[in-house]
Amino acid sequence: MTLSKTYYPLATLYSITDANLAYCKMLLVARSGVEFNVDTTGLNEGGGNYCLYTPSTGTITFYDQQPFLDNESINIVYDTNP
Amino acid sequence: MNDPKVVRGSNMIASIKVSGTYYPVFCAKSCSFEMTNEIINRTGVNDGLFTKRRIRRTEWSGSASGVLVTNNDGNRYSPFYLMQESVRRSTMEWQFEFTNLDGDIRTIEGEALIQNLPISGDVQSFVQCTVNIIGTGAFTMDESPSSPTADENVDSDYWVTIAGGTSIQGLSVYGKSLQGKEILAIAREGTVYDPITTGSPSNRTALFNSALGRITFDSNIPFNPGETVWAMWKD
Repeated sequence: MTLSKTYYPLATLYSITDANLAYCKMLLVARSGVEFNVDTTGLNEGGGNYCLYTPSTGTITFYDQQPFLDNESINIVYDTNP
Repeated sequence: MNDPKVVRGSNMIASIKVSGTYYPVFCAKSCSFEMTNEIINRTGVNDGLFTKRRIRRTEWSGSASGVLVTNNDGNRYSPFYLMQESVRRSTMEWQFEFTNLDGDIRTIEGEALIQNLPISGDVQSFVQCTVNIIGTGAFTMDESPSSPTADENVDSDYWVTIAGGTSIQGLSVYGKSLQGKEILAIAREGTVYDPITTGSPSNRTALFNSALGRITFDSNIPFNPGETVWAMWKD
């Protein structure tokens, strides 16, 4: 099932974890309006427009040197049955 | 059973990772995997007469049992190796592999600790051994398809806007309508907006009205000439 969610993360953090995102297929991840490429290998954790998706925990991790600012939002479109 | 997707017991294999390669644990005849959710109460004062619950933590465990062997080779690892690792308090990577009659493989992998390892010898039979493990941290499953996906008619298209306006409605460039749909994503000139279905849109939020098939943006940020609005939706 294809679903979408918007998260409003706490400033200073750089990842979101939601059990509903575990073992899903990420179709679209956008941070404050900017679309990000989704990586599951950890090879592109260094930044750029990449985020790391960890299926076992439902975590999306962004570059740790660019933590969330106030009023940022994360838009995610995902498929629960990959 | 004729279903080619079933998995026979002989096609469930418990393995440990040694130097980057998974090896089956000794001469196992049976193995098991178990996932357990901790259920806790979440009944509130307004929940009436019945208990409500939710899941707190998840844990997993497994076991393998079979005939004891004394050596390690390319096909198996001995319980004595597991015992050594256990005494060292080592965390080991375990894999449970399931192969169906079609040859499709699904795996569950995770780090685990050995909880106990009983060995018993019967004068009439082979020495039997069991290893019981408890997972530490999450397990991971491969992402091969678990079941066919129903067609939800996920679709997307874009609308050309009128300068000065703040909403789009009606047919898209390729003749599609948002009426009666469930919105998944909205973007305006490449910037993804937070879709909302109630309230007033402001800044980077966009109000979606399914009944009217309309997307409305902040009235203080009207469209510039040539702007486009993109949306993704499903039935």
